[in-house]
Amino acid sequence: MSWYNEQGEQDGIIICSRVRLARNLRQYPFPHKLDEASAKKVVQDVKTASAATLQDSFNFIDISQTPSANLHQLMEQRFISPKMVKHPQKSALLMSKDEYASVMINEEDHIRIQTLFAGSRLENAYNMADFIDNKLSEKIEFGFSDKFGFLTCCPTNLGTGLRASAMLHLPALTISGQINELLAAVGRLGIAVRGVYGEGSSPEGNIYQVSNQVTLGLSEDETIRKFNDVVQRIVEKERQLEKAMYAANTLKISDNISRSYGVLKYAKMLSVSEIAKLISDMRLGAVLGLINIPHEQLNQIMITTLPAHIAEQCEGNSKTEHEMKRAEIVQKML
Amino acid sequence: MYCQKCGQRPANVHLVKVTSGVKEEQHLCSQCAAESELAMPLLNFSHKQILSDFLEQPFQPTITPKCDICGTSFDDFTKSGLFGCPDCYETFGDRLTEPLKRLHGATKHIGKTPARLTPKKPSVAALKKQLEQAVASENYEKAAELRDVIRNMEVE
Repeated sequence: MSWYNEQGEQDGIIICSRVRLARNLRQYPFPHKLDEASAKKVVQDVKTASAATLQDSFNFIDISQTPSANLHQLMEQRFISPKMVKHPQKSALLMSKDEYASVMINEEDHIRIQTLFAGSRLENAYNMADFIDNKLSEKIEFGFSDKFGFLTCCPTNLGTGLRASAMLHLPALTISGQINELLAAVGRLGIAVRGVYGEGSSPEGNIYQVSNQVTLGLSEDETIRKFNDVVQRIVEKERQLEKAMYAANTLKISDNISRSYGVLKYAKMLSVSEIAKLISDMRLGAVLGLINIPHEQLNQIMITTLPAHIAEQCEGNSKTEHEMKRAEIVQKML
Repeated sequence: MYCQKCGQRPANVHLVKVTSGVKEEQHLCSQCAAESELAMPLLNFSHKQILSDFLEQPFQPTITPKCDICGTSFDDFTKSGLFGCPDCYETFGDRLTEPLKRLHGATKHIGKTPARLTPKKPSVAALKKQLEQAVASENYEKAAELRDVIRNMEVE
């Protein structure tokens, strides 16, 4: 089941966890240097290896032949990256049937294994990615050196090629303005924090992505352990701050959350930005015990009201039609 | 002294080539020097600099090294931040120490080796580091495996 349809642990603050491994075939240049014919060979090699070692558990999608609208939806569901949507010509995708794992072929690297779980399940995500990596390496010779580890197109991924990330909902840290201090503090530990939706200083929906930056000089176990530690510390800080804020402003916060619920339930039109803010209020409401909406339902609403998802449900392109459809979908779900 | 090549014009470009400790000297006029292989660097340097530069380092007739397999130069990498193929790391390995220190605070891989390449075992030092980290992550099963592998290697 996709991460956004599932219940996870600590999912009041940790929306989803992701592990990504970057690998390349030894005997080919990296994707940006591949001509069309070689790109097809790489895709075929990976597809064959997957069929041989992972049997029937993956579906193959030829990204270069997939309509852009569908690519945008896959991106909104977080199965492919914006880079792949922008440059689909050489690429393909293997999607696991259980929807926990995907393998991007010919994005920045030949192979990017990605596992995505609801809530805080970083160990599970790593173990699954590790398993897929071991299986593929039975048939594919990866570019690897004892000195530098897994050889990647960009040296920022050199070594383990492991990028662990967590999507966090941090309303209290954002509202109190403490998020910048946090950014600086974890930056010193080799962790990057950035807003997921929206641009500029105030991420829409108070949603952030936290990921490790270091891939060389640390073992995979150590990387996951250290990263998890930092995430847990951020979560704890957010939790404490939420409690404190609520204790100091009980009436105001409950009032705000109730009003947001009202808008979600009865508005005739909703924009993407509005939904982001309203869902954030609902998430906080759920954590504080004021609202009884399961977190996975909030995740479903978040994803299925994004632009490409809505566009698919609508006949025309008008903003009004989209906003109406969005409100309709939310109300159906609630 | 007259140019060693044309024998007609006075030699005013003096080149000293040191290869594996052996010193070779060439004395050319500016015209013959310009026509020779060394034309490019000569256009940009003063004569004094050429001499001292050549005395200090081994002679390098080519200007920028390129990866044999994909043709990417180190310049290309500096501009785009991307390499062209896995072999680039072999070609440019020595130049990566500083950039990797800046990016990762480390220059050597400590971590997984692909299953397929097990004939080439990781070094005892790398395994010991993995053991430390497995213990730190409380992955005692893995730590025990690593301990046994290290013991066997040290016995050999």
